[in-house]
Amino acid sequence: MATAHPLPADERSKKPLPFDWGYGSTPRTSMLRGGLHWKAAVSESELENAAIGLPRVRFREGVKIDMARARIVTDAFRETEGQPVPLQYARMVERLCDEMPVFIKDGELIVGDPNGGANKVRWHPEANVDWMPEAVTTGGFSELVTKEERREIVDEICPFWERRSMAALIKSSLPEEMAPQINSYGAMLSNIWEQGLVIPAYDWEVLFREGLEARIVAAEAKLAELDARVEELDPAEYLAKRYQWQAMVRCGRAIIRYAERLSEMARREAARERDAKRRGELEEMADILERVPARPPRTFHECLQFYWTVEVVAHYFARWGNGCGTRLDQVWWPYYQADIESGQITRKGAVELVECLFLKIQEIGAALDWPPKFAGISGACTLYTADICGTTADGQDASNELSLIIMETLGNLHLSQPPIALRYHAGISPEVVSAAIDLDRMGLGHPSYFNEDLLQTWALKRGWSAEDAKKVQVCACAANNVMGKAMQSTGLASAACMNSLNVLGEVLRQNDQEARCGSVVLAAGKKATEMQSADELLEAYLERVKYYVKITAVSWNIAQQVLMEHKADPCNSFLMDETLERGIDLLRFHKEGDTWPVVTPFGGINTANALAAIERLVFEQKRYTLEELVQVLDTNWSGREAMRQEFLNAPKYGNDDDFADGWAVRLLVGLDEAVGTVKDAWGCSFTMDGSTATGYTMLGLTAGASPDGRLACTTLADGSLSPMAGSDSEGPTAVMNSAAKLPFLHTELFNQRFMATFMEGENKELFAAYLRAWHAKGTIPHIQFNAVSSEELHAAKAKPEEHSDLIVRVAGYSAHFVDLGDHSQDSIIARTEQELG
Amino acid sequence: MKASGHELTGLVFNIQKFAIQDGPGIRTTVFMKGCPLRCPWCSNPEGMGSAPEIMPSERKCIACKQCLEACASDAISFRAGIREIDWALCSGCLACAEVCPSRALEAVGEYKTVDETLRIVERDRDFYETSGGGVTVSGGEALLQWEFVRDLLKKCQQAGLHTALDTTGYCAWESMQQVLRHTDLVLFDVKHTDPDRHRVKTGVPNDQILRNLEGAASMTKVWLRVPIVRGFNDSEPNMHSTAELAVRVGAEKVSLLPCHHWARDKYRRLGRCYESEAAVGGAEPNGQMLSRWQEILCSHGLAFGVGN
Repeated sequence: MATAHPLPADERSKKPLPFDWGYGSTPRTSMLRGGLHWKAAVSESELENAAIGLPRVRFREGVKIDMARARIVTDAFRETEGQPVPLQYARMVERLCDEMPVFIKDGELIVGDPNGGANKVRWHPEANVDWMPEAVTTGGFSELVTKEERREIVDEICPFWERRSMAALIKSSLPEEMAPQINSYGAMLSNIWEQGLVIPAYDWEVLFREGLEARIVAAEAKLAELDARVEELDPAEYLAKRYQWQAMVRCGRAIIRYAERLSEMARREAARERDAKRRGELEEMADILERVPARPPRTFHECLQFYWTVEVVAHYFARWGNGCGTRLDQVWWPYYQADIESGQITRKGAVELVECLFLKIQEIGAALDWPPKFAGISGACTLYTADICGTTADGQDASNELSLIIMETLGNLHLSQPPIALRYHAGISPEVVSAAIDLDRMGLGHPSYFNEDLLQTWALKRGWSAEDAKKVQVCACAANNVMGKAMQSTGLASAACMNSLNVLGEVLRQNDQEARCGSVVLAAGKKATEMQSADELLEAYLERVKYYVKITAVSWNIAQQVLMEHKADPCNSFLMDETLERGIDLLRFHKEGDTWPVVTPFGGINTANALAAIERLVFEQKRYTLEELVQVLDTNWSGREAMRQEFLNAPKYGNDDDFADGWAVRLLVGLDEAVGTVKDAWGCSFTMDGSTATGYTMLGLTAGASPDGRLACTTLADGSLSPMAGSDSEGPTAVMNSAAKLPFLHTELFNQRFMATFMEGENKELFAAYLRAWHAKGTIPHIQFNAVSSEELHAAKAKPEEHSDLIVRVAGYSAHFVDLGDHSQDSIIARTEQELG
Repeated sequence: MKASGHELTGLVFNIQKFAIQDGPGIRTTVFMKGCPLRCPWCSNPEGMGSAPEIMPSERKCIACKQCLEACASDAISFRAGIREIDWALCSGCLACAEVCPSRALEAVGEYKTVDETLRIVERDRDFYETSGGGVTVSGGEALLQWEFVRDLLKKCQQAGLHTALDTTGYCAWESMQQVLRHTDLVLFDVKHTDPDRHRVKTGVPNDQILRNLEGAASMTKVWLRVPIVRGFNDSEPNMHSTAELAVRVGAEKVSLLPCHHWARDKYRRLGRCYESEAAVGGAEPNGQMLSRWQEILCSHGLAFGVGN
């Protein structure tokens, strides 16, 4: 019985491309996509073989380092040496706006680019140059420069920044014992926060309504008012505000000049253009850029160009990267609606414009970073997030036609950027959910679903007022921000990445030895081999975590103070209402709210599985002693495969098994509490964030063999709530039940894999029901789906152990992929290739 | 089925969560072990026998040879690092499965009490509620263990879960009737309408099955399930008579289940011969054949689905 079956052919999409001609809803966007430069980098070496240090990273051919930006920035700081910090940064923005090469690609309707060329990758020498000479000579970036450029980087640019970069300033300010903890592998991978990346959440509605000229006028009025009150003011306060407002005014004007440069270029190109239609477009663009962002946009096209011009300057010229979350379907809505009503634009025309903009966003690429870190977030590019849907201020469904258009655009073009955060709530439009599932089916990983209610819960938990909580936005990977406020960047720019399995390893081996870093001390405890239960191990583990968080806090506090004193972001401060009003810098403003000192845990689920296996096999069944286990782990299970299988087959999180899930709950709740006991210098509790990006492969490289049956230097569980790959065999409902046992603690990443066929035909309604259940559980803040690719199926065929969770009930037949015979596996692979193209 | 203490237990060979093709919505399907039929196309051959048995996997075997020591019947041997089982010697004692660290030797079939099974089924209640799903009991032939199934479905209904029974229909009417009192939907297999053809391929006649179908339809909602086996039940007369049968009993829907050969590997692992391709002569049914079925069902005004 149960001979069930594949969907009939007509219900399965066989079309590998979204349109007959390929990608893009029009010939224009199709052409632009064809010429796109893909700048994501991947680590070249196989995980097992990669050496710690500088793995080679690989780029697509033709990608080069953007020398223009590095030169301009270096010149700007040479020129302004000794000036007040805000004015130095204002000068940097001015010179970038005035001197960065501008270009307009054939067919483009939205223009401006953070890079000096479409094939260029930015580099921020002002942040850190330590790794760069090696990276461009023997490291991963040597192909990205010419011989002469390499010389210039090594002999001219790097020496200037050697002692002036933020990284250098921070490192030289830390106590001696702390410095080695920085960017080192082990239990904690602390960052040095060199990017100083405070993520502002502007009020775009206000920016659009006022235009930048009005803000410049406002800042000038503030300066005049300041001068008028000079007698009564504390001179330090007077100077600080004066520099800030001066710097803000200069940045505001620089943004407008950048738009004017683009406008002039469009005008020049129009004069040369033979095709009348294109000439008209170029002239229209020139007109648009003359108006925005100086003055408020009047049309949807003006709105998008306003938005993009500001993004380019504020998010990429002025600082390291993006990470912002903006409710695009909300802030663009009035302009779209008005144009549709007046007949100024058709829906198809609006889709083309959004496609043009998203193509620009895709091509931004990430800024160059320390190669291992860069490869760790390579796919993420700019960590930019497009929020859609959610609720309005009065609790109604905020979904609109733009929510659909934004999703449609990514599907039309098959882009990875910008990632979409779909804010899901009980009253969300079924039409929008249906479109979202269609997008999921394409296997692009869009959209991510966020529980709208838990976004607000998070904000209240972090101490924001009820009013602020309503303005929360998803930003970066899966982090949150409050509109009008600012937060510290996340991901690998967080306070620290914790390699949880290495902490457990230290407990197993060194718990009876005192650990000390500067004034932070971890007292010696009971020897692990004398412990009577895995609970004792967990307790010692949490103590050690606290120790590391305390060390992190010391260096974090000092680094943040260095940044406040030596770095400024007048451009973004100009765009935020409160900083403009008060004449303070974003980096200082940020310290008034939630500084959000974040520890990103990696391998938490592996650690929970490890404790579960130890409890079961060592303490309950007494199959092995801890001593024996540690010895075997030290040899990477060498010659002990049968023992490894027992640990591998011990109960694992993700199967709705209360024993294993209980360990995950105890571990993750314990971690949340332990990390939360440490506060930073601004009174904010350290917290965890599940935005793990692709770091779980990188940190896995540095983790030894572990009691969950894992081999040394292999990948960790991805996300923060996802089961370890290969360890969940009960299907997607069991995984969700496991995850839902955990109370909502903080931002999380929860990835689920489905065959694309689960998202089509009659199954689509069941998939929607699965989503409803996820929301109804009310504890899992995030869920994201990866439609299983044929590459993964090939990999599963080759290495079944790593993919034993892969469910292929394509035909309703109850089997895990790895349990099928070769013939059946091949037929599924063939079918998937047909479906996904 | 046997009694453990005073409590009734059932022999279950799989509990499939997120079952989406065994009735409406997201379901959990409880597969009962043991079946009186021997359909050569069966995709769950491990569900045929009425006792727990070993289903080995070569892929997972690490050649640690612990099974070799555990086997008292000398049924296991290793040749060039590959484990081999002499099925003629295997006593079915399952000792090898108990010691296997890598789950390369696993026992198929486990005795569970009704409450144990109910607790597992209830775990996915949230998904049943948002999808209109519930529990399906399948097999094997679930009604070989009708008392267990009756108690399980009764308790499921009491717990507010939608219940479905997936059956070959081959059992005594009295036992089916008792189970149907607690069944919201029957997924009733009709393999062939002709008694001789049916007996030749499945090993049993279909008269009892067809009588039970009429009885079932008078008691509860019915979906007919037709495994489409090329060269067996794809003749025009059978398609028409199946459709007429569906109309006569008032089936809500006819589910076409095209036969496939994905289970070939399972037969090999169980040490059995997979006869389907040879015996039925059938490759997987093609789209044309499915379309013809659908046309005929349509012409009789029937709703139908493929796979469910």
